[in-house]
Amino acid sequence: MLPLIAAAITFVAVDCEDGPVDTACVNVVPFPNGAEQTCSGGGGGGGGGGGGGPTNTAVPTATATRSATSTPAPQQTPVPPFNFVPYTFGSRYCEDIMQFVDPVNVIFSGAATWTSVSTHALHHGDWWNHDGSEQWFQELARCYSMDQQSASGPAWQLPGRFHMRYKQASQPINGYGTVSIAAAHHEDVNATCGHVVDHNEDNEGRSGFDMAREDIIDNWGIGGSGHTPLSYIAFNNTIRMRQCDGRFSWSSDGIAVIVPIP
Amino acid sequence: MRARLVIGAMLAVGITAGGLSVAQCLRNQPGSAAVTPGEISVTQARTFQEYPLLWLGDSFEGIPLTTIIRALAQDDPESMLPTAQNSITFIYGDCTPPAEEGGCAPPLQIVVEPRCFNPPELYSYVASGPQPIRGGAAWLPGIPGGPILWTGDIAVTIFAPRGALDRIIASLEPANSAAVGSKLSSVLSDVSDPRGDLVAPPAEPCGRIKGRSRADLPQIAGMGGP
Repeated sequence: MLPLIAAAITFVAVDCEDGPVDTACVNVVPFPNGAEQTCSGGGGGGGGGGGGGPTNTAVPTATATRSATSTPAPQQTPVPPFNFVPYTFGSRYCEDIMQFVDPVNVIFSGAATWTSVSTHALHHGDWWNHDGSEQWFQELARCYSMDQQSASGPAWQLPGRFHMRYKQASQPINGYGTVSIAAAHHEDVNATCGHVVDHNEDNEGRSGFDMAREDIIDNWGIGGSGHTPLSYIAFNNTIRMRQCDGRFSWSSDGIAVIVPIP
Repeated sequence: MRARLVIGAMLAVGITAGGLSVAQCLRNQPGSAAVTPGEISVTQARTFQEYPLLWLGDSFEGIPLTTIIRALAQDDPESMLPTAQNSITFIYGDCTPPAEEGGCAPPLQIVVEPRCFNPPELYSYVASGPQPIRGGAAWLPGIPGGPILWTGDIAVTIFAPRGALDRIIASLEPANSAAVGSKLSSVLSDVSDPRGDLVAPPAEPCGRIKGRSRADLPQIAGMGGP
């Protein structure tokens, strides 16, 4: 009997060798020849606490940041200079693609100090809470802690909440004034591990990143609150992020909204 | 009696394991099911017929293929931005997300989608402009969120350490040659050479982006608005 069972299982296993890829077979894998794969470690995660303020400490990165320059053509929308990498990082060294956490999908412009963003987030979206872990932004090839985070409820609010982390740019940007960049998302509470950004089946195929951006568009922009005109820019920051429940969040569509703050 | 219980339990385990595996195999039979959104198998990718897929095989420089994700969603016309999705992502390697909050990105990801779901005109603000690579393909490394290679009617985003990009581009090859048949010539100059030259993307801009006409799109930087 036992050999028969073993043979049956072996047969099935061999017959199915071209099945789904094994998602549990590896963990962090080195990138043998990747010039930018080296990482000197760093924070990540971290406890709650909002606070913050522009007291962040810049950490020079070992490699040049991705950047592009603005060359607006006639009758085209001028684009802001990209002095930042459009992802948050889970480490204060901002070096490694594997440290990407959330896509930057909102740019506040005009008079967008981080305190102003915090005030407007409370006013327009009732994003009153400031709990959450620390993340970092890379700007001008340096790594900065976020200035603040705002959310529509406490970290363990069921079933979830809207949440964004943001950082004020180090200097005003020509044509856009004082700018803050933000990584907004909707996250669900997972009882076994913590927060997860929404999965595919949660919102008819719309990602938690896009949902939070839409909430800002609706409540700040087209909801009559005066933060117009809205404009958009494609970053293609659509990388897939594994969440603490082991699954991948649905990816961002790679487009950021530019929201003026008078 | 004890021996019968043990044998019975082993049989149950064997049948259950076999049943699950058989179900898994059925799910992976070529053409056995529509490719629905979510994680899919290698077989499903290999038999995908809608458009050619470029990938790096089962591994790249020792980093194994770990996950394949199919994204598919219809546009919601009431949304300011188009919500349609149509892509397949090949994920190599893995990462460990921090406990409690925040995700992490595996080190190498290849996203393939129809050209007009992620066309060059969305990135006309990137000063360098696309450059030819691997034959006639158009390559735009200066996109802030992730560089894109356009060949034929597909767009291929490559998320990887910059030092590896050249080797990755040289190693891209069709995943679904047999399934797409003649469509393969839309990306390969010589279909008998899977790592040969890639063809250029069409010169004309897309009339619809992510399934939505340009007139129905909001003002997007670099595109000149509606």
